[in-house]
Amino acid sequence: MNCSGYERQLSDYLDGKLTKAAEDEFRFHLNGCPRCRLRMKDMESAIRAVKSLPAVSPRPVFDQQLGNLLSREVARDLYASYWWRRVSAAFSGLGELSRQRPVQLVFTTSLVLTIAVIGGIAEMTGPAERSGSSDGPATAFALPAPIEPELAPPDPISPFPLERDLAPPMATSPETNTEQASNPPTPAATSLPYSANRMTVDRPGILTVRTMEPMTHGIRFVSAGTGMRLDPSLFDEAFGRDLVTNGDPDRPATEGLLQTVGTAELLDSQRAVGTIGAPGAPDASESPGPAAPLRRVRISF
Amino acid sequence: MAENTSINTVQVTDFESGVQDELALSDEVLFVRVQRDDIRAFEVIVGRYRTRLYNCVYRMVHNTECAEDLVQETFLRVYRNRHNYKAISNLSTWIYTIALNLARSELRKRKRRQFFSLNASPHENSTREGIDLPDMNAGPGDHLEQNELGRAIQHAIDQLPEKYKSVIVLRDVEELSYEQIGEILRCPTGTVKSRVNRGRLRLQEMLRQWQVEIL
Repeated sequence: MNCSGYERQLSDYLDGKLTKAAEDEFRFHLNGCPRCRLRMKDMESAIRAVKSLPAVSPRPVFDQQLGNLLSREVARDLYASYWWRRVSAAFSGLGELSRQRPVQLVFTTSLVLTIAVIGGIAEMTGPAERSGSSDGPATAFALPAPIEPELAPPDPISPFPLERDLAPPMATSPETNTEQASNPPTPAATSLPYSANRMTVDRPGILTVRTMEPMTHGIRFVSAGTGMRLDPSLFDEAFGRDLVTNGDPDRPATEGLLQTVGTAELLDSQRAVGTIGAPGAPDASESPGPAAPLRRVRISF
Repeated sequence: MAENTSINTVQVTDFESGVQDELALSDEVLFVRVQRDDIRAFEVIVGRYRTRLYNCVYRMVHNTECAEDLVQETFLRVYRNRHNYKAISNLSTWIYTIALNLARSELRKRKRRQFFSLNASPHENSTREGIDLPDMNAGPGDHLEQNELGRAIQHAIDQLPEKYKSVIVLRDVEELSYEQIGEILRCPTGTVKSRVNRGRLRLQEMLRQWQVEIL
C-alpha cells in the first residue's frame, strides 16, 4: 500500500476503527514516512479543533416560540379530531340505523328527496305562474315579489346593459307587455315614452331599489296598489337620500327629479304594477327612439 | 426484542402505578406516550434534544435565527409525524435525520440564492489561492465564538461542501457513530468513513493555510 492508501485510513486509525493487524501495519508505515506522520498530526489537530468548539444553546425566546407553536399544533389536532369524531359518529350512526331499521331509513330518505325535488320544481315554475295569474289573493306565505326577468341581475360578462335593449318602448309597442295590455296605462304612465320595467308588489312593505352600479339616472314613476301605501313624501325621502343619486353619489336627487304617479294601477286587490322610467326622458312624440340612459335596476322587497 | 420487552414493561408499570419518573425513561418509551398525545412526554423529549440539535444545526448553517427556526420546525415535524415513527429505529436517529434534512435543504436554498443573486461575486472574498479567509467579524445574529480560533474553525466548516460538512458535524461535533451517521444520511458506513476522512483532510488544509495554530 502506498501513502495515499494509508491516507485514506487516517480517520479510521485515529478513531480506533482499524483491525489490530491493519493498525500495526499503519504504525509501521508511519515510523518510516514523515509525510504521513505530518498528515496524521494535522488531522489530529483538525479533529481537536472541531471538538474544541463550544456548545451553543438557543436563546431564551426559543422555548417560548416553540411552546406557542406546539400549543397551536395540539389545538389543531384537537380541533381536527373533534370534527373527525363528529363525522365518524354521524356516519357510524347512519350505518347503525341502516343495519337496524333499513326500511325506515329508505322511506325517510325517499321522503326527504321527494320533498326536495317538488320544492325545487315549484321554485322553478313559481315566478311565472304567480306573475301570470290574476285570480285570488296572494297567500300569507308568498315569497317576496319576484323580479321580472328584465330586472334580473345583469350578465356578469356585460354587467350594465342599457334598459332600452331589454324592454321595448311602451308607446310604440304596448302589446309586448301582457299586463300592460290588459290594464290600460294611466295618463301619467302613457306620457312616459318608455316603460323600463314593471314590478309586482304582493305585500305591503318598504320598497327598496338597489342599482347595479353606483350611478343611476333616476327612478321616478311609482304606483301603488291596495295593501301598500305609498306616500310620495316617503319616497322622496327614501329615494332622494339613499337611492337616486342622479349620477352623483354624493348629491341626492332633487325633489323635481322624483315624481310619483297619482293613481295606482291595480291588478287585483293585493297587487299593483309600477313602472320605472328615466328622468328627463324625451317624450314619445318628440323622439320615438330609445334615448334615455336607463340602467338596469334590481328591485327587492 | 429486548427493547420491545422493556417498553412493554414500562408501559404496564406506568399504567398501573401512574407514578413514573419521566426523566428516567428512554426516548422510545417516552415517545410511545407522545404517540398517545401526551404533550408532557414530548416536552421531555424536547428538553433532551433541544441543545444537541441546536448545536448541530447551528454548526451547519452558522446563523442563530435560522438554526432556531430549523430546530423548531424539526420538533414540529416530529410531533406531527409521531404516528409514523416505528419503535424499531432509534428515536435520536429519526430526529437527527429530520433536522439534518432541513439544514441541508436550507444550505441548498442559500446556494441557489447565491447563484441567482445578481450582486453575488464569487471571488469577492477570496484570496489569490482561491480559499476564503475567515471573516473575524461575527454577524449580529451569530454566537460570539470565544476566540479567533473558534471563528476560524467555524469558518472552515462553513467552507466545506455540504456532504463533508454534515459528516464532520455529526462525527466530530455530535460524536455520533459511523453507523448512526450512515442511517441519518442514508448512505453506507464506508461512504461515511470516506467522507469523514476527506472532510477532515480539507479542514486541516484550510486551517494550515490560514496558519491557525491549534494546541
